Amino acid sequence: MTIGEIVFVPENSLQGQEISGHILWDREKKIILGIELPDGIRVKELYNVEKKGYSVDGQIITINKFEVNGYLGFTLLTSIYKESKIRNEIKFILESGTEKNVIKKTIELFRPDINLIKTPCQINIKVDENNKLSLDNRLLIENLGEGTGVINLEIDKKSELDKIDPAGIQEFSRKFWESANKQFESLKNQYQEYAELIDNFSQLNSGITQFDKHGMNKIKIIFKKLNRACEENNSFLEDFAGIIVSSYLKNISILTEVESFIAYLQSIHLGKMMLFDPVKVLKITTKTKILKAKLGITDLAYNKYDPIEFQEIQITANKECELPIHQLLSFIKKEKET
Amino acid sequence: MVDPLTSSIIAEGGKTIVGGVLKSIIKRSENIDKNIEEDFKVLGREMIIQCPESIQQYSLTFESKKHLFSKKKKFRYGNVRRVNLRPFRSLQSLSKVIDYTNDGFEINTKYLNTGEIYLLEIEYKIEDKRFIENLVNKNVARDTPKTESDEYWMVAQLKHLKTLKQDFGYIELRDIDFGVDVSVHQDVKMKVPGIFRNKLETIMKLTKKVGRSEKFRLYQQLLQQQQEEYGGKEFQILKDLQDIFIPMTFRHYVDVQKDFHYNDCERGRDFYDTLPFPTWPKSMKVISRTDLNFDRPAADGLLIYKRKNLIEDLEKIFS
Repeated sequence: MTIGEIVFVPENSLQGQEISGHILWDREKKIILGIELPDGIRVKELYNVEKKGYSVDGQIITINKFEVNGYLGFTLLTSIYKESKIRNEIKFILESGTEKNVIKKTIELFRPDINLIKTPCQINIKVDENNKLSLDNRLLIENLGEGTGVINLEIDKKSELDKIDPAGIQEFSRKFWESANKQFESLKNQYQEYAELIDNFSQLNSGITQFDKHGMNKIKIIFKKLNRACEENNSFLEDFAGIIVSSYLKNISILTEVESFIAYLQSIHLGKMMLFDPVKVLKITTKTKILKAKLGITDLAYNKYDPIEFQEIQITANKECELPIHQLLSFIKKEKET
Repeated sequence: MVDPLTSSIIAEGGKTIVGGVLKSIIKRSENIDKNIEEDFKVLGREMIIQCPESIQQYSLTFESKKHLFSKKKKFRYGNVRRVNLRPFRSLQSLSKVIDYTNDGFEINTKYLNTGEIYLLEIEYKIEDKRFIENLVNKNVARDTPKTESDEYWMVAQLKHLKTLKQDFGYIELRDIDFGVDVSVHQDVKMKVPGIFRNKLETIMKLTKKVGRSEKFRLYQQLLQQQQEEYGGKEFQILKDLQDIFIPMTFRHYVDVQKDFHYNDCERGRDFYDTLPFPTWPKSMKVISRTDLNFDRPAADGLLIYKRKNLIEDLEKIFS
């Protein structure tokens, strides 16, 4: 019988995400366990190890005292690498008397790799008799990575153009939150332990404008807490969902199912890219205005990437119009996916 | 390298909470044992924690060892959720025997027979909601690199294995919940034909406040589009698309393997959506479950999203 019977490490993971694994071996066998980690991976936690039962030497961790023999659990922290995909090897060395067993596990770490391929300095919009918009230029974006990228057009304070909600959505949004907030007050009385969480959720109404560390953390914490509250308290889940649904239904006349489906399609782009503000628009006039902005990038584990800066863009139209953000950007798929 | 932010890599966090809760539930079980042992002979014990509901389920088998006088045995160890007593031979529940009180329950011994073996099952709610969270490390894949068939890993591990070993045996953790957000957005987007989308956009514009001439023009455009594919079927198609994402249907697009089993699915809560209304799911949250105990301190599972099958069904909607 070999010493290490089961060694589990995930085969792949999003870079920057915590990964967990474990080793199970014959309980009768006393072992010394060595874990050799590659660069960019750190240990966050070990489970079932005695307080003074381990030592660390660079990237090698040696464990010789377990609370209960036969099991080790661990959580590792991965980094964001320069490469959008990297294969790393974790080595486990199990020694019991004269027996030695070396087990190597490979993990593929991936992430989105969003690139701005083209930034025009001028965009001219032609509004035809059907109010259909034709742009002579767009920002061209590509995801060269395998992770899903979430993209946000972050407008600079000095920009002459700003993101706004289109007319229909504005009205819906206002009425939806009015209705929901009214009902949240009684929900707060009913579930006082979640009052702060409900307030925080309600404040999302004012919107997250930037993918900065603070904003991302805020979203992450609110939804983590909300998920936990819904998981631990079924009646809260039902009441909370009831408010969202009833506020939606009350105002449905403003927003059709068709419109919500269109908004859904507008937010998604092939090549594993999603747009953060799918229905927001830029108000374009016949007078040339300057758009000063950058692209904020995150992924499905809320990792923050360096924003993509781009030059100022002059935008003008032959007729006043609302330009949806998704039309300003053109997303291209990776060659191998097409 | 050790995470410099943490002074120690040994999972000590939450140990006090776990220890505190276990101490109180063990104490309660010991009190029940003592009380039962006054009149009966205890043959076996089992303790299970039902994780989703956070319930301590304590079961014991006992035999009446002497002639029982008609009396009510009181078990005042807190608000009990459910008590069930049944003879081991028939396993038929004896509903008359149990009376619930404000601070526990009573067993009316006049209905019990000498020499008979009984199974007593008692459930208490574990009030500290942090208990499971501090006892079990849960981790799942957030995204997948593959495009054909997505595989999401899931891992459950006991942080404090030693605490599950008790004098009477081992405590079992049942049905630990795991939620995995399965991304579906690319598939819908990929399969919605442009012609269908254009038609929807015209319909959408018609629902807005527009001038008479503009409305006339849009009607003309729509009439023209109605001659094309999908004409008049738009709402049925939208309904069929919505049906894909009801749990009963979506369940067929996922397969849960290894140490986990499928439990349920629901529309994912999309945090990246700033829209204040539920539109269409970008992800489906699939709930899987697993068990852990002293002999199985860790479990790993695989959730397979059968993308190809979903795409085939989407194609059928538009065929």
